[in-house]
Order: sequence, then C-alpha cells, then structure tokens
Amino acid sequence: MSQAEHAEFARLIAPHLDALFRAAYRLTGNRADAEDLVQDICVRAYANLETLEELERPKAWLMKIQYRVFVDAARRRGRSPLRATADDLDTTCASADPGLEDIAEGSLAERRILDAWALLDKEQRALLALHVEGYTLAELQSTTDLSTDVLKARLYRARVRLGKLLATERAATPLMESKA
Amino acid sequence: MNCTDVAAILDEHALSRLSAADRCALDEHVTKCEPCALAWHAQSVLLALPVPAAPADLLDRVLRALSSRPAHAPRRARTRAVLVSALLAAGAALAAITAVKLYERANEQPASATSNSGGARESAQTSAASTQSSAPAAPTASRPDSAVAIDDVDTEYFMALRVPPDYPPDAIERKLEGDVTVEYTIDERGAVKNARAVRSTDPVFEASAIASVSQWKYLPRVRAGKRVAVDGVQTVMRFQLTMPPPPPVGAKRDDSVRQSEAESTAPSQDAKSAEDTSAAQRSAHPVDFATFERWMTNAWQRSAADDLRGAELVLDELRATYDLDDSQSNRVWTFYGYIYTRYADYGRAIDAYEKAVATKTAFWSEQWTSLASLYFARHQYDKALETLLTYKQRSSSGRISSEATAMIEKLRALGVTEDSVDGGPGPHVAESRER
Repeated sequence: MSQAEHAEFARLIAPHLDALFRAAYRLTGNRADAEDLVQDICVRAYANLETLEELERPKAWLMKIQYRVFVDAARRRGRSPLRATADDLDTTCASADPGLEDIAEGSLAERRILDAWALLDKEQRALLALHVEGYTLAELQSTTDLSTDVLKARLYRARVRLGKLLATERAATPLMESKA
Repeated sequence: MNCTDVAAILDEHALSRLSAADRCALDEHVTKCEPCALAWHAQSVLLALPVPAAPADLLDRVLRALSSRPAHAPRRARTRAVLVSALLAAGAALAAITAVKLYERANEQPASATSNSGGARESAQTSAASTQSSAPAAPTASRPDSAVAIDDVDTEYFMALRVPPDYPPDAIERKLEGDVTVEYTIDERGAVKNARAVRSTDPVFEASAIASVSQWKYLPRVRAGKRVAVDGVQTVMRFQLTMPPPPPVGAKRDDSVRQSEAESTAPSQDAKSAEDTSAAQRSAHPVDFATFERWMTNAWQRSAADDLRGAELVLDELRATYDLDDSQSNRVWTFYGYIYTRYADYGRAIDAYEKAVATKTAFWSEQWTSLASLYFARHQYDKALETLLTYKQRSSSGRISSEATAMIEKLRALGVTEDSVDGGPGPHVAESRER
C-alpha cells in the first residue's frame, strides 16, 4: 500500500471516525470492543478504497459495513460480544487498585443499562443503536435492507423488549432505584 | 393517538416537535398502554446513556492497523476513561445521610463568605477578554447574522454538570462541618483540570471536594470563536450536617445551591420567591436529580465531541420528556445558547440565553455576559447594555464580573451609556422580556 493511498484514506475516513466510534460503542457497550470494531470497518473500507472515493455519502456505506460486521461477527462467535465486556470488567475489578476511570466506566446505573442491553439480540441492538445515534428511518432502511414496515415493527419491538428488561433489572436492584 | 402513532413519534425523534394537544394525547395513551410506556422509557434511557468520545489518536491507530495487516491490531488496554459517573456519585451522595450544600461562586462574584481567603481572585481572564475588535460606526443598528463573523463572538464558560461531594465519614463521626475553596482550570473541552484546595476549614474535607469538582463539566469559554481554557476558577463547597427531610424523588441539588446562595449573600427576595414558585410549579413530569444529570452528561459529552446536533437532540428530548424546574430550565437554555453560538446561529442563541436569564435562578454572571456578548457582536449595543444593567440589578451585591465591567467600558467607548438607554428596568424586567 502506498503512502498516497494511506493519506487519501485518512482524509476520507477522518470525518466519520467519531460517528463510527459512537455507533460502535453503542453496539458493543465498551470502548475496547468499539475500537476493535472501528478498526475492523476501516480495514474493510480500505480494501474498497476505490468505492469509498466515489461515494457521495460515504457515511451510509460505512454504517452498512459496520452493521454487517457487527451482526455477522456476533453470529460467528455464537455469543454476544457483550460477554467480552463482562470478562473485561472482571479482569479490571480483579486488579488490585481499580482506578477512578474504571469505577467511572462501571458506574452502576450504566452497567445496569448495558446489562439489559446485552440481553437484546444483536439485530435489535444494532437497530436501536443506529437509530438513537440519529439515523433516519430511510438511512436505517438502506443499511439493513429491511422494508419500512418491518423496520418500524422491529424498532418498536426492540424498544418494548428493552423497556421490559430495564424494568426487571430495576426491580432486581432496588438500591439504585431510579424513579424517573 | 394509538401505538402506531407513538412508534412513529419515537422513530422520528419527533417528541419535541409535537403540538401541546398531541403531547396530551400522547401522555394519555402512554399512561394506559404498557408496551408504549416501556418503549418510551427504553428510548429515553438510551438517549440519556453517555457515550464516550472517540479517542483522539483513533485515526493513528487505525492507520497503524492498516499498515500491519493482516495481523490484528492488539487490543488496547482499558484507558482513557472519561465517562462521568454522575449518577453513581449522585446516588452515593444521596445515600449519605447528610446534606452537602455546595455553591459555586465564580471568582468575581461577591465574596462575602470567603473574603479572607484571598478567594475572589481574578483569573488570567481579563487579558484575554477583549478580542472583539470590530468597532463599527452605527452603534444601535441591528444587523443580520451574516454580518457577524464567528470570530466576533465570545461566550462565557458555564457549568453543565456538577457532581456533589461525598461527606467524609470521618467528618460525620466528628460531627464536623466546614467548607473548602477549590481552585481549578476549565480546559477547552470544558473538563476540570488541576483542582486543588486553596483554603479549607478542615483538611478532612479537601479530598472529597477535589474529587467531586474534578468530575464537573462545563461548557467551555469561547473567545473569538475558539474554545479556550480558563484558569483560576474558584468554587466554595460547603459541608453541612443539618439533616434535610429525606430526599424525595429528585432531591433537587439546585435547591440547596439556591439556599446557599441565599444564605451566603444578603438574604435576597429573589431567591426566596424563587423557592416558592418553583415548589408551586412542580408539575406532572418532574425529573429527578440523577436522571437530569444523566441527560446533561450525555448532552455535554456530545457537545464536547463536537456533535452539536446530537447535543441539541438530547436537550430537545429532555425538554419534551419532562417538565423542568426553574433551575433546570436555566441550565438547559444556557446549554442551547452555547450550542447555537457554536453553530453561529446567533438569533437562536440570543433567544436561548434570554430564556435562561428569564429564570429566577439566573444567578450566574456567565450567562448574562454571554448574552451581552452576542448582542454586542450583532451590534445591538443598547440591548447589550440593557442586559448588563439588568444583571447588575439582579446581582444581590450590585457587583458584577470583570467581563461585564469591561464590556460596559467598551460600550461607553462607543458612546452607549446608561443615560442613552432606559437604564431603570425593575427587578422583573427579565420576566417581562420573555417572549
């Protein structure tokens, strides 16, 4: 790969990295996996540099890759990528002196939400994650290749399911009860 | 209103654009329909879940990973956590059976409580304060936004998030009360750096005060269109053991802020009546402290990552989902003001700041000077002066910040003085100005 290609790729990808990372964080629920996912997407995008150069709206294309990579990877591994989070957190907690940062990341309320989140299936997670990151239905449709009606129905079901999971989680941990 | 309508509103993030009637219909449906209530709740939770900004060196690492293909890039150690655990901290503070009162006093506000600390120290800000160089001819002309270059606009830093301190267990045991003056830098993203105690009644409080301040987040100061750091900001944090009634849902931290303000400065009628009204106004959808802070955290993180539209969306949804109390509205509208300023949408920025200062809890000099700055940049010098004078009147001590003083001087140099505008707005002028 040439220096020039590298520079060109950097120029094209840089404006989208933040959005990719945010969506990746929503999908995976933790920073390390989110970074891995972003790197994965970039490797694929780089392999298709010519396509990327020609696209009018590269973000939609990148999102589509992200969606595919995430859903497929989850399928391949046969387990939720969020399990990795739990493992990571265990290691973190096992270290003698968890720094402030670790505590911050493991904030109980956020953990609780992420726990409920992890129980959603990956497609539900992906749909909600991208939607809450500000993607319109039209964009989601092109990302997922679902029909509008199916997409809407799945979004609604995913929300109801997450709402139920949150309600259960909440009941299970009265200490942190939030009465919002 | 049926389930499909609700789904559509959620799908299109349309909550904030609903008419009042639709909003009522929606509320009514949601109280009766469990799935919709769940879906709604889930969406709010997701919107409020903080997402960290991408690491600054992500691009570098991506490029390195490309160079070293096909080897998979090594997984990074877990570092660089910048998530604010506002909720966790808030929960902990509420659990402690003590009242922690804290009030912030920007360096220039009346220093009655800590005047012996050398506390009202001026920061290095005055030198940086006047980068506006446009001195146009017609002082009272109001011009369209297109005439304003982004370089012209300055806004002040403003608190976006505060995490209350934990009461040190030692101090509880010793039944000790006291206060700590913390000094720190607000960096260009709005995070607190280098917090240190410059004065305290007892060292036992210092660590807790510093730990809490270090988690606070600000909307950064903007100078000539660029975000800049501010040194020497001071806050006095007061630790009091007086047991408040058990915090109901949403123990309002800002209530205690207000109380402290009222106590620490001359007893002010404004503060009193603010308490009364805000209690009376508490309405159908109040938001508890922790939840509100979580939304604000999320909005702050988005804006710190330059995702202004995202931050705006969060605030829109927050406002549409809950009825905010006076001090919450104040903070939210100030946040909007900041966002619109950075969009260079000064008309809306002014509207937002006007709404912020129209609240009864507009104690903060920063929002007044930001508003005046915007008027100034739009060459509405009368309005700029009027804003500053209103601020001066509402300030219980009659003293105003150095930025405000500097701006009044600048206006005077342009021939805009108190005499040239109606300088006698009553204390309620802020209310009557709300549109």
